[in-house]
Amino acid sequence: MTDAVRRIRRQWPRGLVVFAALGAAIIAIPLLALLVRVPWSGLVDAATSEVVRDALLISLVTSLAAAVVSIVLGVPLAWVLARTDAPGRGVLRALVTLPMILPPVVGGAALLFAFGRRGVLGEWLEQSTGLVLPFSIWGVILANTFVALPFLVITVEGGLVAAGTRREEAAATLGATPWHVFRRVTLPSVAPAIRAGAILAWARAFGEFGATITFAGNLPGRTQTLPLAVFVSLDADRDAAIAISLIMVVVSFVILLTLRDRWWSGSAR
Amino acid sequence: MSGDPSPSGGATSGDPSVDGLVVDAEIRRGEAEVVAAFSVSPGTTTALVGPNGAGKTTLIEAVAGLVPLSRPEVSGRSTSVRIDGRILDDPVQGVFVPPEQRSVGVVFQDLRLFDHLDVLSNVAFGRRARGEARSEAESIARRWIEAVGLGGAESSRPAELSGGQAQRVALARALAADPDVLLFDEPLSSLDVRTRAEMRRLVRTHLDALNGPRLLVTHDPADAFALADQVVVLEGGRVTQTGTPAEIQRRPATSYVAALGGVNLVWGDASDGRVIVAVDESATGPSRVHERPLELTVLDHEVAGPVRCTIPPSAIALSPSRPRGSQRNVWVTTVGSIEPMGDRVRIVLDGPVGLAADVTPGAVAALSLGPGVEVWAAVKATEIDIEPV
Repeated sequence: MTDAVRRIRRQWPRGLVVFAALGAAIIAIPLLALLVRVPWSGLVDAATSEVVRDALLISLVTSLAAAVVSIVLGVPLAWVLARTDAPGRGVLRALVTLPMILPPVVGGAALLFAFGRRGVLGEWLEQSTGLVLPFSIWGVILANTFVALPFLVITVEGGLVAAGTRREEAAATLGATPWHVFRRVTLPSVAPAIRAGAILAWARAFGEFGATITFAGNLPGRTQTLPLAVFVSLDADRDAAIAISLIMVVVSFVILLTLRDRWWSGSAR
Repeated sequence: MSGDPSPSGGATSGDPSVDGLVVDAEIRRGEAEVVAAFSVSPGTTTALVGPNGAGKTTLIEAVAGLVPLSRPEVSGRSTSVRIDGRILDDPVQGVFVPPEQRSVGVVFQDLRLFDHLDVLSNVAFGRRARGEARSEAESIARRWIEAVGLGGAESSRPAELSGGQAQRVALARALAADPDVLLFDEPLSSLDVRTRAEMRRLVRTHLDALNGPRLLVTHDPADAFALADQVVVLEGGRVTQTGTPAEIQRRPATSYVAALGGVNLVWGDASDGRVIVAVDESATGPSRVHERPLELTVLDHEVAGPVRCTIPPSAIALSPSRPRGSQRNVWVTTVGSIEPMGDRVRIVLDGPVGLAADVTPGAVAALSLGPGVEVWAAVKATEIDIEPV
């Protein structure tokens, strides 16, 4: 029966198509230019070098860790912003989204002042726990979280506002405590927004450069992520830089493609 | 509300001898204000009726704990929501019990089922929320699903259900939590006619089985009269009448209540067997034919001054031209709207005095009645009941 369904394609407004094509081109052309320059013969060597392998591993681990930390801390933040009338919510929202606008270098410097060895908290942290954040993989994760968290918070807050409180009210009349309501009603209803926000946060962390290099440095095998490796290689070994760039493009593109329907647009279904 | 006059001691928690749901509320939200007092005895159903925007749902939400009472405007007055003497909300005493501690079940107008859970988990939700074991909660939920006629749909998602089925789930979900009070907001308004009659029977069965007070919000008089022991009429945020369905029908206090009970209600000035009917300012429609106020002849010659007249819609006869005969109350008017009501058709007559006339479908065809058609209306003096106000 489904074969009998007629597909009627309506005329596309020409103006829209032109601008849509221009928009796609702005992103596609530089990436194609990169492909043109790829030294295909030496690619395998460049991609499997120890430096690149380490950087890829560090990038994947730290960006995923930042996404997880963003969920754990960002969902409660989004809940406070969307569901409470806590005073200063406007200020809190501006503060939490600030890293989206702030140059990442500024974020990295701020992290250094806070968690550096002479930092406000860093000195105390080192003395009491022996943990040194700057120039360590923990520092990379912290820097990534700093820039990634806002993406999760605003996505989930939007999801919470869209879901509304009607079902939460119904749950309360059935005897559910606020915590039970949050776990059994609120969380499931914003699951698509959490997934979308986590992907955005992960993507932002995966490409992070400025805050990382400022706060965690550029130590190959310890804190050097793929973007840092590209930056270093651009001067020293251009072919390697292009190879790493290609790896980043492919990894990101494959992940976005795989998640496309199930996760990304889960809320639209 | 006075409630039970038995002198059981002036406890600080008010009068604990009053059983059931006792509401004496003032709620202000923006422009809207609801000031209402009523009580619902255990094991009885009260229908809260009124036009849209009268504040019915706000009152339901106040009982459920979703909206707090406002501080009373007059100092010294105290307002509260109580169940069996237990104070749930009292702004003066500073008491507010959150919804999850009230044991007030609500069937919401928009149902609010949990889309991510199947029917079984929806119905078991209240018991699970209170920490009951899954197996126990689900076996009780299964019984309720069976009881509302949805056996077999346990693993369906709300999105897969029809409107009537979803409503049954909402009812089962509220009842399975074993509430002390049940609130039911517009239970049947979203259903088609056939499902409605079926659902009304079902609602009635389950309401009757509940020991606690039941409060039913509706704008449909049929629901109110079919399901309720007491009717509270709310208009513009105020209670305009409280009584049994029979009392409400027999002595409607406002024209809204009269229309509710299917009775025309007009006010006027009586003298010597005649009543000059007051013009209803809110009425719409062409007033050309009503340049003169409507004057009715009535039987009662004794009454003088302001009166209230009730005229059954079935007593108003319609004809295409001035009717011959002895009838004294004859006037020309135009048809405003036509609504089928069972085996009769209700014709709403336009003009400064909006009146409803019930005629047979045959008469509608014979008179070619339609909106804007000019007709002659006639009513016998014996059919008009007048009462001084």
